[in-house]
Amino acid sequence: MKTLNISSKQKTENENSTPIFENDCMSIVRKSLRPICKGKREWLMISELKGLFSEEINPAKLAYFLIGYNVNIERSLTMSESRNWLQMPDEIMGEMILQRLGAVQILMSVQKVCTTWRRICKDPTMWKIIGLMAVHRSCGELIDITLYFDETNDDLRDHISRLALDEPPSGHLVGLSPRAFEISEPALLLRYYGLGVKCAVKRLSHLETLELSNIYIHAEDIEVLGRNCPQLKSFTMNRRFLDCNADAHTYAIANSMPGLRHLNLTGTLGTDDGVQAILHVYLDGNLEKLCKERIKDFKYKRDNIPEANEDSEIDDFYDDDDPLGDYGVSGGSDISAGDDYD
Amino acid sequence: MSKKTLTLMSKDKQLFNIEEHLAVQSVTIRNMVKEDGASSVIPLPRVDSETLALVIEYLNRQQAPEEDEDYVKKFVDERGEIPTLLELAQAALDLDIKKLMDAACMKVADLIKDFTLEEVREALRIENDRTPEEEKAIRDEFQWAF
Repeated sequence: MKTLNISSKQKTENENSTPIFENDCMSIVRKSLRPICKGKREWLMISELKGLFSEEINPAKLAYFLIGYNVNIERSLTMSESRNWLQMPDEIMGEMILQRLGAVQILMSVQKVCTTWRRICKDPTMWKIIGLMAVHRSCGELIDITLYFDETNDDLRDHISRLALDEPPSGHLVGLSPRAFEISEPALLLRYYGLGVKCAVKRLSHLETLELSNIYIHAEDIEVLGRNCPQLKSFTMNRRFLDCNADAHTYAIANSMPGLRHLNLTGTLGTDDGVQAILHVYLDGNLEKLCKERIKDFKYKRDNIPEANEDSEIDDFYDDDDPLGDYGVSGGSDISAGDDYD
Repeated sequence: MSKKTLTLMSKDKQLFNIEEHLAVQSVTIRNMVKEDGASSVIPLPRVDSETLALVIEYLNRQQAPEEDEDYVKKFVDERGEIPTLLELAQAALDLDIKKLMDAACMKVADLIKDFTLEEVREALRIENDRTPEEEKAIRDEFQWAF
């Protein structure tokens, strides 16, 4: 049995050397021997090692270190080959290490490494704590949260929406980008996501800006959303609705978001009726006056709609000389319309 | 010198001496000492001697408490190789030395943070044990992430 003393006993034997100095030597030796222990190098020049020490170290002591380490070198070589890191307890691998890598790397690479890691990554606790960390770290300063929901996992989605909202963002922007939903069947998407948004927005009563990108949502859900966010000043939705009756959405917006100052419906389908409903609510018939007073920036771009017959109210308002249909109202208010209005 | 010394035995039967008042930073050892006075050798069947040497070096540190955080960080930084750190983490878990375990795990996480899939496998010597069918299943499930 070989005994290697690195500790107190040795210190008392060599009273001249301070413990700190000894520690330094130890780490230098360890550092230079490590490549060999790990099988990256097969040789080591003794002179190379000597150069690492200051003059004071005596050869006997150096030899002592080396002998102590010889044993380790051999064993390390065999050991590191046979060591199976997958046998590490999950509490180290999962909770302590992998979880720190963040959701993106877990999804993109960690879970693909092997079945053991995949199993670890599937553990809900991996995700719970990440959600907690991210949201809690914001300490109420959260101004932008993006949620990717995995629609195969209801618990996860509920959990995240709940977590996110335990500390409701006091700021202005909530971006919800559930691209995951697009790979599932549309009927489910509507229902599921609609619920998600409702749940998510319920507690954000101070929300001022809401952007919904690439999502499908029921008109009723827009209403719920609007009612839950009475402070909403800006609303952006830039995806075509799945519903054939897009005006329902437009009406929903008009009905439930009276305080809107900025509305962007780029890429959505709607008819003039819907636009009129909006104009009616926000502009109360007296278009120009209220435009100046209330809406600072109103964008409505229609694609996929053939030349529509403009209603007089809108017609009156648009400048025939402007071929692009962009309209500037004197007094700083601005209405920009799509290419249909020319 | 009447300070009590404990002897720890690694997996490969090497013996290490350490003063008791330093050793009890490990909750595991502290409990053992409390129970039977730990007059004999304390066996650590899961810790190899190289790792135990590191642990003892850590326990022997002579830092003021306020410099401790920095010391642990530096300590693991100097041993920036993943297998070493994982052994260290495992040993620290067995011996219940929380600070050391946290620091070692944090360092490993930092190291593999930007690794690609293949790099992770190589660094930890993990074989890809999934079938092509499983690979495809994952790709399909997380299609939106690619």
